This record gives sequence, structure tokens and C-alpha cells, in this order.
Amino acid sequence: MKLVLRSLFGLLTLGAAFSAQAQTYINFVTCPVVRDIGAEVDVCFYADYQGETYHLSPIGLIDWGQPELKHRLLVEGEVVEDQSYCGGKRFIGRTTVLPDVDLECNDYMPFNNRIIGEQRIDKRPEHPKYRSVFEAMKTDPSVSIQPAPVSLPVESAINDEGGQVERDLVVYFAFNRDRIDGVSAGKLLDFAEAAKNGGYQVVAKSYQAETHLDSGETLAEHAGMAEKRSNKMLRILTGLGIDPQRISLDNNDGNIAGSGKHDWKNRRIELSLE
Amino acid sequence: MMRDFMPGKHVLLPALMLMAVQLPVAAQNNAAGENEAAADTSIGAWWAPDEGRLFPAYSEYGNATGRLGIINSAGDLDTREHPFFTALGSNGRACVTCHQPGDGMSLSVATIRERWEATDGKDPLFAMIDGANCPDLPPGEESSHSLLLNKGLIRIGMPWPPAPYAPDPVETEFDIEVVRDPTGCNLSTRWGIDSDNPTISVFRRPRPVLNIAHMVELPHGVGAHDIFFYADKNLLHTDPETGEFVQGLLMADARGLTPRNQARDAAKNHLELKRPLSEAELQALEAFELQLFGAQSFDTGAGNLDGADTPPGLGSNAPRLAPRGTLGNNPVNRVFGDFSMWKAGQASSDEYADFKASVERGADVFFSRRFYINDVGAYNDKGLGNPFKRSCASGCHNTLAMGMDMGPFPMDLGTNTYPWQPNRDDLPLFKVTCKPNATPHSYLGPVVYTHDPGRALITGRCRDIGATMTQQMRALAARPPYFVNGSADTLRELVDFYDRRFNIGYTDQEKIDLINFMRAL
Repeated sequence: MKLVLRSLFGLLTLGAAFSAQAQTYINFVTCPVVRDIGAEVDVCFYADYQGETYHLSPIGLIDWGQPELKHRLLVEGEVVEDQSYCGGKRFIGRTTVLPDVDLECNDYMPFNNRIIGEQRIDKRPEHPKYRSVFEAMKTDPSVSIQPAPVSLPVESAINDEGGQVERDLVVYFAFNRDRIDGVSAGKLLDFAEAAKNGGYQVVAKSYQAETHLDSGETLAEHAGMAEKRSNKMLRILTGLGIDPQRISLDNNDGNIAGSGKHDWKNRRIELSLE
Repeated sequence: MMRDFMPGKHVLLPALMLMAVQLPVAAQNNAAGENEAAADTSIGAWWAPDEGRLFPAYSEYGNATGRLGIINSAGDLDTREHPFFTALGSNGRACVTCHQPGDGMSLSVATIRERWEATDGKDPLFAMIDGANCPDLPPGEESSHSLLLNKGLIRIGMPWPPAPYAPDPVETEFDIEVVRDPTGCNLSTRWGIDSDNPTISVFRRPRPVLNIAHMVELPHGVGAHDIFFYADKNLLHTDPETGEFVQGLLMADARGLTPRNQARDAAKNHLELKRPLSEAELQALEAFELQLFGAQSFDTGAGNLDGADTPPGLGSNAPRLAPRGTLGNNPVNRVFGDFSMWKAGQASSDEYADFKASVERGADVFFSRRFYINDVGAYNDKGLGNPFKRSCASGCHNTLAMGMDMGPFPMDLGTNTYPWQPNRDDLPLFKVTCKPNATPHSYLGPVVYTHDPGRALITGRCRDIGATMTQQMRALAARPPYFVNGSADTLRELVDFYDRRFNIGYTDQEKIDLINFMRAL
């Protein structure tokens, strides 16, 4: 059974536990501001919106959608009141970097000695996993060019309890994008393996959607996004060795109407093994 | 210190070291410990096609700051009729012509100029097809070969519009216009963009055919990214011959995915071979490339880099022994391993102590000194954020013992694009305009001025304009100038480019330390 490393990113991975408490929805487009939070750590991004400051990296997303200066950012989510980072409240949801260059979005906030970031625990030399390696290096420096102990942001489609492959998998997307996130990519590997080994039929239902902004404006995804997403999924699944004859695609081309609550969850592909 | 840690490899290194009889003459005269450059810049270091020389199991070649060591892990090779050393095509070149052992299996400008002077410009290296700025220029004149003579650049003719190198069809998202071209080639009626065979000519450095086993190794231990591209979460490309996933690190634009594909491309375009390479030739070329390992083995400032009591990431043996396809940007690996034995005050009190301490500091700057990495096309925009704050090692040069980006994929650092590279009046300049429905270059927008559209000439995508692949950091002392377009004549210029590009603010001492570190790799 594969190890499920949900604890790796500490604060980032508590989202599900808090979702029941979250009641404030945010849906807006903004210029992100980059904040320096110390010499030894990466920057973070925030935005002020309706009297609040928000940290612009959604809880639980690892390799996807970090804000970019020179671009506006679509923010969708529900606020988690008792978590903060980067001087702002956190949220569960999605961010999407909008493609057009916008030179207005170029604000840096220098380090202020009040909002200080912490280096990822697993990147610190004092992390326990490195202890024996550093000890060995005292007598044999060549250990330092052997593979170091690693912890990876890998999640699995195999559930925690029984080691059974989950037969349903939902992959969410950024606005007008067909790129999946790294966590979903990891799950897809197990999902595809299970589909091959079990001789299952893979059913993929692809959707595209509107986002209803707090301003009242509605953003609609391009026509054909659902098909684009399912085509990409088809390439991935067949590339992972699934017979295309065992994959059925169902594209729902019309945009699902936005409500301002979890609109990002409407941009998805539902995968199931049948 | 035990350095030879791989099981079953313990016998080879001492045996290799005994084979120093194969060294070029000047290198032999620079035994470890001599504090002077191994000035083997003689013509004897040049490998001409069809010489039938022995390629030794271990050889050393002098360069400006020491000596490069090359291990042929399969042992001595008789190069007679070997396709790497044979003039296969019509222009008299062999692979070795542009991949010289003494230049880290690449080609330095110093070597190029020596060949020009020694042969009055008649060496096959200067074949008009790509050793000249354009094939229709007058042969034999320095001005016709200025890009090769001054910057070590080979002409690469890319089909326009882009032709697919992968199974997926290419939809070209941009138009291209030649703003100016001092080479004349892109405006040539026979060779240019409006010719019967529309071609974009770009000019690139030959990549080192060294430590290729590292370059073709798929990533290990990075989760889904073992087989997914980080940037767009497509699966990695597959080898059309085997169907297996492959890396894309071999060529500047990642078009030649395997040594065999690269060899086919090079034989056709650079050797002017009119027939396909045979299976036997392909196998011989691939095998040879995968068995070569090398790095600087002696530095005039630090002495012998291959022996005991040297940091384990240095010396020609390190690339042979280091695991491949491994992410090294962690506190243990620090990409090139532990240098603490050379830390000031801890290093031996030998004549090299000060330089060794500088190398140790440079390794630390390389690994630890964070700076804002911003506006790098096809990089910051792949989900990392713009900017993000990393060091050289934790950013783009993260592969254990090698220093290329294990990512992979090409990125637009700015070496070829305005406004970051405004000083190359010797190169063609293109105006690339994205079509209205295309996703533009993430930081330069829909109109980009570039000397080389890079990966975009393969994918047709605007987001790839100017993107080229990071390179391994081995054998740097042997193969100046640097960057894909040779824009940095020295390691100092390379460091200065980064310092300006990312507004890092290195101190002069930090620059010196970084340079000393890099030249020892």
C-alpha cells in the first residue's frame, strides 16, 4: 500500500477539517501583492479585498496556481476564519492566473520583521530524517552525493483504511485551463493502474462552468473547454497504458451556471471505474 | 574518505588512474600539485576525423584553469571506423569535430580559432552548411564564419512553420518577422524564411556529449513528476522507437529526445550525411555517449580534484558514481555534495587552502543564497509563482551532481530575448507576434523580440518563445563561452548576467567564490 503523506505540508492540509465551518465565500479578480517574509523562505502573496487581507495560496494545493506579478488573479473559495498566513486569512478553493500581461500588477511588500515565514520542515537540516545521514557524513562525505531521504507531496487514490483503490476520482481545474494539479496527477497514476489491472471501463465526465464574482459580473469559460479537458485526460490515461477502447468520454459543453459558492468545483472531470 | 561508493565499482578507479600514459603531452607535464595551468592548447589535443586514435579509458586535457578528466567507462576504445570519429557525411566532419574531448566534448572558441589559424579556415569544422553564418556567404573569409569564430555558434536551420517532432500536431500560434539579420541567412532567397524551403536560422552552442547517462535518466523520486511534465501536466514524451517515457535534456530545444534521435538529426544536418544512420552505427554512437563521464580533475588553484580529501562532488569520477535523475536541492545533497572539508580554517594548511575556502563559499552561495527569480517564461508561470525566491541550486540547477534542471523543460531566462539581452548585434533579431487567440508569453506579452525563438520553433506555442533547456554544469572550465548563444565569454560574464537579470546584488567576493566553485566542477 502506498504511503499517504497528507501531513507533509502541515497547515496546508487541514482544509477538509475546516470546511464545515467556512461560510464566507470570496470570488474576485485582483492584483496579487508579493510579500517578502524572510531571507530563508520563499515569498508569499496576498491581496486586500473588502476590508480583509487574504493569503492567495489556497489550502491544500501544492504545485499549482501560485500568483504571478504582471498578471491578475481570479480568486474563488470559502474562507477559513481561524487560519492565517502571509498576514491574511486563508481559504479553500482555487486561484487562476489570468493569461494577459497586466503591468499594473507589480507590487512588492518588503520584509517587515512582523510577518515572518517558516522554512518547510522537511527542508531544514535539523529534520530528523536527515540525522543519520549527517552522522554518516562525518566519516564519509561521499554520502552527500547519494540520494537523500525525501518526503514527497504524493497523494494516492488508494484509501487509507483498506488499501482499496477508490473507484471514483474528481479532478478540478483552474479557470479556462486543462492543466491538472500535482496531487491529482499522483492519484491518476494509481487510478490508471487499477483500471488496467482490474480490467475496468473508465468513464470520464467533463464539465465547464461560469464563475459568479462578488461584483455581480459573470466569467464564462471558453466554448470547448470541457472537450479540451477530456481530450487531455484521454491522452494521459492512454499514455498510462489504458486501452482507449476502455475509456468513454462524456463532454458537457454548456457552462454550468455560477452561484458564487464553490463555482470552481463545477470545472471538473469525474472519473469512475465501472 | 571512501569515495567509490557504488557496489562493484571499486576496482575501476585505481585502474583508470594508471592510464595517464594516454594524456596529451602538456597534461602529462602537469602532475597534481603543480600550481600552474596545464596549457595544453596545442594542436595535438585536436581530434580530427578518421585519425584512428585510441580513446583511452581515462584521459586528461588542459584548459585555462587546470585539466579536464574524461572517463570512458567501457575502457579503451579503438576509434577506427567508429561512427563518432568517422567522417560519415559529405563535408568531412565527424561527430568529434564539434564534440572535442579537450573541450568537455563541446567546442570552445579558443579551439575554434586555433583550427582556423592552423588550417587557414579549411578544416571541415568550418563547413559552409552550418559553420558559416550562412551557406551562401563567401567561403574562407573570417567574416563569413564570425559567429563560429567569435562565439562558438553553429547555425541551426529550423523548418518554418514548425514541424512536429512529437506525435502531436503543431498549431503555430505566432507569426514571425525578421527585424534584422547581420548573417543575411534568414533573408536569403535560398536559405531564408521566404525561400522554397522556409527556414529560420538560429545560432547555438554545441552541447557537451559528456555525462549523457545523466541527461537521459528519467527523474526518480519526485512523485507524479517522475513521468508528468511539471509545467502542463502532460505525460513526458515517449521514445517513438520504444514507447518508453524519455527525458528532454539533450538539446537546447528538447527536440532530440534520445541519443539516437539526436544522432540522426546531427548526421543529417551537421555532417550532411545523405543516408540514414545504420542500426549498428546508432548503437555504437549511443553506447559511446552513455559511457563517457567527466569533470575538471585538476585546478590550478585547488590542486588535484580527483583524489582523496577532496569534496565528493568534484573530480571526473563524481559524475560516474553519482546516482542519476535525482533531485539534489536538499540540505544533504546541496546538489554537488558536501564541501565543508574545504571550509576556511578547516582545510589543510596547504598552498591551496585559500582557494579551496573560496570554492567552499561558492558552493554555499550556489546552494543557499536566495534571490527573486522573476519573469522567466515557461518557468515562473508553471505554477511556481512570479516571483519566487530560491537559490541557484534550489531553483533551476537542482539535479544531483550535475546541476541542470531536472524539471525538465526549456525556459526563457532572457539570454536571447529583449529586454534582458540587448547586446547581440551579431545575431538575427526576430519579431514574434502571437495570434489573438493564443496565450501570450507570460511576461513579455503577445509581441516578443528575440534572437532565437527556442522551443517555440518546435511546439508553435507563444508561451515557449525564447525558451531553451538548462545545461549541466560539468566541465565548464573546458568549454567557454557560455549560454546557448555564447553570450558570456567567461564565467564572470555568466555570473554578471544573472546578477543583473535577477537584481541579486552579489558582492564581488561572492562572484569570485561562485566562479571558483563553477570552474572546479
